[in-house]
Amino acid sequence: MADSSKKMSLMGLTTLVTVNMMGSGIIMLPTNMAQLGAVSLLSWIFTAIGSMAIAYCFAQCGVFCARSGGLSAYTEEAHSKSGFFLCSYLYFLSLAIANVAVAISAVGYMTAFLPWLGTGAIPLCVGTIALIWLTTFANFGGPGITGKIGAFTVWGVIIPVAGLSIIGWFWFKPDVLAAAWNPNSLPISEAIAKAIPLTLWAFLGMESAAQATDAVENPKRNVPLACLFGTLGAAVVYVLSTTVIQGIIPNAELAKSSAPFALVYATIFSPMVGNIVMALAVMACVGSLLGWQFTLAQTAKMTADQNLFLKLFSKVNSMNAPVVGMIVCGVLQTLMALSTISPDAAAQFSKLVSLAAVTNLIPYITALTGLLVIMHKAGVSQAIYSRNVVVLIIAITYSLYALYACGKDAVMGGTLVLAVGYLLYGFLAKRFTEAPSANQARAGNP
Amino acid sequence: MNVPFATTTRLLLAFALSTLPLVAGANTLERVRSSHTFTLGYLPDLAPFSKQEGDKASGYAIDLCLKVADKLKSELGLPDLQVHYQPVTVSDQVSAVSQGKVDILCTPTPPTLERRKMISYSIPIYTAGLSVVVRNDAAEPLLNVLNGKVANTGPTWRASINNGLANHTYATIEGGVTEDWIREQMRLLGVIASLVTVANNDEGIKLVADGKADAFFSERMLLRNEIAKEGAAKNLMILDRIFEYSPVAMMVDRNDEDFRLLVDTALSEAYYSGFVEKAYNQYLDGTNPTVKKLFRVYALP
Repeated sequence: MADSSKKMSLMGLTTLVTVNMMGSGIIMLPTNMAQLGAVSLLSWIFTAIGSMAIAYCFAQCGVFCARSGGLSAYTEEAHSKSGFFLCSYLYFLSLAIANVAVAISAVGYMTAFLPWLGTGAIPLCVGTIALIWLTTFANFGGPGITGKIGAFTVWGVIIPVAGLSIIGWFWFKPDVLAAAWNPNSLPISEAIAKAIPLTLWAFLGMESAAQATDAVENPKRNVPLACLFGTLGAAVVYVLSTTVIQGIIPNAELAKSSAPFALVYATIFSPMVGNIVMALAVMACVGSLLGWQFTLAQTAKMTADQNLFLKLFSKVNSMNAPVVGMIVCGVLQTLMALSTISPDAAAQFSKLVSLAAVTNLIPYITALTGLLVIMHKAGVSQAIYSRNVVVLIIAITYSLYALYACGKDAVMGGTLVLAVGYLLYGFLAKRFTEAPSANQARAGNP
Repeated sequence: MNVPFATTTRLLLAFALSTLPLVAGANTLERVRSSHTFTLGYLPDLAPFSKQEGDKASGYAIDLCLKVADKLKSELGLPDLQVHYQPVTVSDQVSAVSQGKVDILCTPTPPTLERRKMISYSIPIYTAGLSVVVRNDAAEPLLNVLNGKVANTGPTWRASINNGLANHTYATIEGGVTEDWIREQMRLLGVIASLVTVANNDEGIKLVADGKADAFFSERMLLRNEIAKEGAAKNLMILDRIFEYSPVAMMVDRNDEDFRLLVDTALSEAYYSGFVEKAYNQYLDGTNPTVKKLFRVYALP
């Protein structure tokens, strides 16, 4: 057991969660929302409430069940060992794929500073692989170092995005927002329905606090708090920044901007400041990739600790980092990145990224349902039980809707991957079943 | 009559002078009969509709014009009628018809109200379709959008490959109806895009081939023809989707109902006899059920 100085603090874990959630998604969000108009801001009401319900339930799981294993451990409470394995397996796949996609996006944004990266499929691929290994090596220093780097790169989000949520109001013009309200004259219900998919999955990643249970100081207290604070922080920043930006930049301009945060800073201050903001956003994006590579390795380690993944994933170095597992993940991701050189494979990869959202959401449902058993085992009072069940229903409904909205192609792919998972577990299950003793065997076969 | 004689004379003179060009133009049949020549006007560089070949011309529209010539021969009893091919330019095509320099403009154009003030039109001979050309390696969201689907069907989350790279440029010929249409559509198309205008099809296609624009909107058959040309860039494709339709027809002189009736009769017969379908197969990309339905709409009973 590593000593606590090599572990993550509450602050480190909270920033990890917030940065993980925002990732590269926040960079384009204002543009996507502006295409529908400011009316799309109403969709935050649904998605923020739903996501807070999920975060709250995960936090409750963490309060009453402090064991290591994150989502998989919560799942096992209700769905036993096979649940643990399937949850880890789906979540691991989700992260392995999604992290490659985040790396591709980050390289895409870097082209503003290194134009060579944008000159074709091969430079893009080289940049992506370089970034994957950079963020893998940076994790070799263990959770403590990862947390410290994360605490630095988070300023890449705080300054441009959170900063805008505060100082942006000095340049905010209500009439600009009013003009941007509904430029396509859609009925309100239709506009909201179209906007929900823009923000529905923006909160994926809140579970990364639970996945880091092994690597945190005082997990019983810090994991639930980081999950709640991280999600709340992201929600506040999301809502404020996407609102204020629509009151500064006229809708028509915002709707076709490929770097909305840079644009707003260039408008307020100067193009130079806009460029700096873009650089900060890229830094935050790389920081979030670092956090996700860490979470990926932790997920594999916790599962290997349970004898459900290859043992090599659980070998840690003196800094408490599962180095061998990280290298294996890096190789796997390099192969995925290499495959995107061909344009056909690149199109296939984007389907894989949609599938990854599905295999991220199924573990939500298995883990959330674990809360019912966790509360039963912990013997919580009737009042707490009833309260949590209400929130749980909201959280599950939201997760199911997010799953449904992924679309039939992604859900079908996810289901096939799930079915393969059952096959894999079939080979593992004997590890957890007592072999019949010699006496019984003889008794059965006289 | 209380009108003084001088005034009447002046009025009569003015009337006679002002109607002179009209009268001159209104006798296409008379002109053909007296000169034994039928002058076909055409745009020399608009294959597969009309294309210059020495002092003659060929193409879908030329073949239909020759059907009109045949009709003239039989109706006017002029078996030795000479067919003369006269190339015109886009800028003088209307005046060439209205001033009687040509008897008919074979190359089809969309009948607009503005043009109808100067000249008249036959029944439609073709349905122009607004289509789009892209590179073979066009990004999937762009193709989805242009095919009328949602740009990205999957979930939008932190791992969605960024749209920031996908800043598309559309191109179209300056000042056409297409330009307004694209500006209107761009917002709801769901990808980030800007619009540039070009002078002609050649230029637009070159922009896309060179990667300076991502999609060029123009008439489907013209695009097809440009791309099939020898030496054309090989990295382009035309999408099947037709955004807007517009029937196009041949220009004839205004106030010459007799000639117009003869042209429409010849064209309607060509529709019914299957001649048009054959010409479609020869010059254009063949027919389909929709096109055949339109044949019956256009041909007069």
